[in-house]
Amino acid sequence: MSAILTIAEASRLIADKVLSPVELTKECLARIGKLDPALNSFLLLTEERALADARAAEARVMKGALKGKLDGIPIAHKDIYNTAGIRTTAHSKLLEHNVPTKDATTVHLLAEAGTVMLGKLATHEFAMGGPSFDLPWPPARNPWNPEHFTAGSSSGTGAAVAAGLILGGTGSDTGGSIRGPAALCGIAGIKPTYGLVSRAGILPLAFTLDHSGPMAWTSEDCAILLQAMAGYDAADPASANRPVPDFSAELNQGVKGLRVGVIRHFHETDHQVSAATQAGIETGLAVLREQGAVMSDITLSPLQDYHACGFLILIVEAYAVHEPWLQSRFYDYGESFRDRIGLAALVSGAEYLHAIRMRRDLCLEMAAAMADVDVVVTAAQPGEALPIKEVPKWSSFKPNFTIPFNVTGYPALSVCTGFGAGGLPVSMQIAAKPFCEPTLFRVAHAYEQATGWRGQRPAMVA
Amino acid sequence: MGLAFNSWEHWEAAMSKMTEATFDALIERSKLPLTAETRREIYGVSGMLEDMVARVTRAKPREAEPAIIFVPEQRP
Repeated sequence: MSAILTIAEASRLIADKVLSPVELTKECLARIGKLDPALNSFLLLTEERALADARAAEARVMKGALKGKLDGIPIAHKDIYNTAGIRTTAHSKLLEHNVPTKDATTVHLLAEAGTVMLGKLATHEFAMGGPSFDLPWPPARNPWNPEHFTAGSSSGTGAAVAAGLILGGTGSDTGGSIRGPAALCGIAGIKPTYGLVSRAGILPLAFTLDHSGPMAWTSEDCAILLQAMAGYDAADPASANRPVPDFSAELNQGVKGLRVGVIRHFHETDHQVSAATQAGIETGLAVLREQGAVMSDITLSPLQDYHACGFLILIVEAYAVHEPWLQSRFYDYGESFRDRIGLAALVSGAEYLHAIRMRRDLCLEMAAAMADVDVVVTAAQPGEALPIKEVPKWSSFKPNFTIPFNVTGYPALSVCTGFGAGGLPVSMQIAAKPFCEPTLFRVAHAYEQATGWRGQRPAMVA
Repeated sequence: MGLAFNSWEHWEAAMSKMTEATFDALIERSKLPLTAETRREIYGVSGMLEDMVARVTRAKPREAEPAIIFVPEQRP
């Protein structure tokens, strides 16, 4: 089995006819067979479909009709993305036998780009809660140490990408569900600007906070995947009708002259991160500074304000989505999901509206604070992944670093900044202004290129 | 406001100000078929939810507000 390739590397080799999409797919399938029994990242493996996709891609290569950088690239989808004729469960007993008749818009777009679909990936139940041990399938585990948590809810995508079972995959992010697992699994993951990527055909969690986005080993690979996923879709009422930029266009421009704001109080006082996470952020800032970025500190409302606002909106909107089932099939949900969502029954209409009004204030605050910078930096997670059996059931009460960018809709990305005392990944989060994803990728790529973390895979992969 | 949440102790100390009778009334209204155990579990953490509600419930002027209040490109 060869070294695990990034999407960018594999696509160049495929274009040069040095790498066969069929062989690449078979390598992924072999790795899944070897490693996934310990990781549980796949809920459903679609081997025949994958090989058919790969053979079609290979035929295009031989005809000189390659579709683009994603042609022949093995990916998989979080199991809240509808896939026509293929079971889509949300990792829940309630949808255990659900087979959609139509692909989600993003599933269709990625298939049209020539990707090879390997299957459906573990998630926290309905993209919330977890880790859960009372669902029809076990939770995904962290390839850096399978006794540890992946974070969620895009847990399967985080684990599968880190272990090289797929080269990239889809996630969804309502309060941090792409950036959390990206951070704890040591990969890259972006929550794009609200409205940039269609959510049509993706099971909703909270309408005004839900985002769809890609996860991959590098930020460059995320840019390649996002290129296929982004764009206006009339089927998603929140879709932004605006031109899609070239997300890779600024990748190699470096960060000289870019202005970086550091939301230091988020991770130093509001919710103090581990020493390794703090060191990773400081080293990351030093790397960017050495390349010519200009630093300044930014002060926002306390992280707890953003978290309270986002949390209340999230549980109330999710409750509204699930109310009929909560009333009729409450105990068919796993304990983690049902108890967390049950809290929403205690929130009044006026309290929800208070959160909505506060959200507007926070959006205005974020816009004003970012007026004079290009990106902001803070933590993505407080530290390394906890042992999976030690994750507190009510950990969602803890203010998280990712939800401010769901509350405001700003694009944000997590990158690996090294490893903590336990040998598991630590990370930092970079956010940009709305629809400024190319700048976000530019900063993340500059950081990744200047550091060696992308050369290190989990020991179980070797 | 602005409390550092660096340990679990703060949350464990966040006892509900809601009476059990009020809690029961809200659950009845929701029509959620909760067992006694689930009721105890949710009631036990409802103080933390109240902390969040208190954080977002601030006096605001009584004046016009926009119909669409979430726009990512919001400008001050």
